[in-house]
Amino acid sequence: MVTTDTVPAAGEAARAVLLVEDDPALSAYLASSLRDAGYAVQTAHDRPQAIKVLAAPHAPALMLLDLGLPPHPSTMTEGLALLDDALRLAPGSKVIVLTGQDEEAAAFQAVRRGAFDFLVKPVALSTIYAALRRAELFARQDSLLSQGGEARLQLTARLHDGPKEAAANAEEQLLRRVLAATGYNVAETGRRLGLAREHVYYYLNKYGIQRPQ
Amino acid sequence: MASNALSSLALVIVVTGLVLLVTGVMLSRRARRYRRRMQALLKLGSQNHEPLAIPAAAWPVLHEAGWRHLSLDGSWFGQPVHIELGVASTTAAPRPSSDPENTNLMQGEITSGNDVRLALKMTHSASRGGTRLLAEQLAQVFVLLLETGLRARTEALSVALAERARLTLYLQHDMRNLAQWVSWVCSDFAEGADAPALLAAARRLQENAPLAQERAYRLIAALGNRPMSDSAREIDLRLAIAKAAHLAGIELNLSGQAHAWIARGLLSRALDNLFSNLAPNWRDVTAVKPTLHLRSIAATPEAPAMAEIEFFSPWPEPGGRIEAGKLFEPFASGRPGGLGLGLYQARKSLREAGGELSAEPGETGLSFLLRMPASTP
Repeated sequence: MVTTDTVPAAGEAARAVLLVEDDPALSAYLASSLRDAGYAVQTAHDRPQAIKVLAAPHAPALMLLDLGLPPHPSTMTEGLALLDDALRLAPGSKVIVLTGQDEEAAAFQAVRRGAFDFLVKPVALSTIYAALRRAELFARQDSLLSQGGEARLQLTARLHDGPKEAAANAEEQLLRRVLAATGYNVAETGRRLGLAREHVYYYLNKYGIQRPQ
Repeated sequence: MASNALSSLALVIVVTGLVLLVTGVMLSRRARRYRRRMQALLKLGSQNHEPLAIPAAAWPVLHEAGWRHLSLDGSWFGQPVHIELGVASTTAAPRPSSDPENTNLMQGEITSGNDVRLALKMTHSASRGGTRLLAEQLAQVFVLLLETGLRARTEALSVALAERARLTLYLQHDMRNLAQWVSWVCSDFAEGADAPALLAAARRLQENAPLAQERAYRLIAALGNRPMSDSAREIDLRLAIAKAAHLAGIELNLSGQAHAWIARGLLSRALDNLFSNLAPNWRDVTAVKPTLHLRSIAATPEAPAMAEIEFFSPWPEPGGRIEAGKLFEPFASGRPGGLGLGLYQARKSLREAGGELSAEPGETGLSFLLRMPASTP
């Protein structure tokens, strides 16, 4: 069940939060608290629901993600897969991971995949708000950078794969980010990246990037 | 005269010797056959047959031993069972006798609580004699195999149910989540600096308390401690269904109205298991919200008043269709990785409450019907 406040306009994206939590009691309470604090909240209880929100235009820039999600709520599998999906579909989004599971392993996996922050349950509301404010600040700065024609990328590279692989990762992430920002408009992506359309198509093919359904 | 007597004696000795030899050979052959059949039966025990598949697997051996007809009738985890092997011919028909040991028929019952009750009848071609005696030994081994298969299944079921409760409690973090919820409520009130903040916290608590209360009830039930007050009571089914659906993360349409007379714990266990089992199908397969029809059936001289819930659920995609006869059987799941306990537990809970859960398979899915005692004005 996806619940949505008024869909934020592009400029308001930083105040929009996607809350992914499978426990309805926790989700409803936290969503209510976030709304009272002025956030536009969309909630999802599992990965498919969250992907629908992330694939929509103007996906929330902030995401609170509980790692234990159905159908395997006792493991981190679904949560980590959703973290990958989120950073693929909305590369600029700031994902704050919440977990009540094996702290160290979860933190390692979340950071490795590009989570913005990591909070262990039980977590105080004030801690969640502090993390959100920080994420919001970074999202705003990223947005300003983007307006100035720059992008801050975050990479996790295997050292033994060498610089070529890392460069390819950066290339792919840059392309995904611009594509997401332009709503997968190839001409506009080419213009922003200083590439001909054919080259954009070449990269789309090279990295198997498709417009989200 | 004396030589005649001597030759007659020699003849008698030779004939007796031949008779003993033939008898010895026959007994030896019969013993070998018996040993071979027994080994074939015992081998079935190590082949991991489904308990209900054991009769068919054992039948060739039993038939060879002279058993002409076998029937197994009753109920297997809520499903009717009727297995018939061989032919109940007139020559092999049970022959009534005043002596209970002098009959072609051998019968017995195999049970496990309320889940399994099977009546076994076997008819032999002979009512007495050595062949019958040896065949009975084989039949008893066959019964032991069936009982062992059944015990293994019911023991695995107990372990799985206990494990499931443990999973629900500890691995799914229900306890931790509830503790998290309580800590948020406390901090909201403890840190409420002024009247508007306290008012907002109170409103939030009022809106969300029913869900947390449901979660608490379920935790208590999972701990095995049914609340003292959990006796049958009047329950508005619309409200109960809405809460269970919310906890399962699904949206439903409800039509009609009905009030049940049922223990809250049993109803929520039935609905929770049912909805969590069907929720993935509803999310993945249907674009529209499923509709649940509620109605009350008035009491008649033959039957008490009942409350009914009826709805349709599509088959999961792809290929997740489960054989209709196995729907309520434990460990039979249509989903990869499914435990196959949801529908079993849902039906068990409703039956415990004096109701019933049934499902009619169709081309595109299953039509479910839940029945439970209705509250009477």
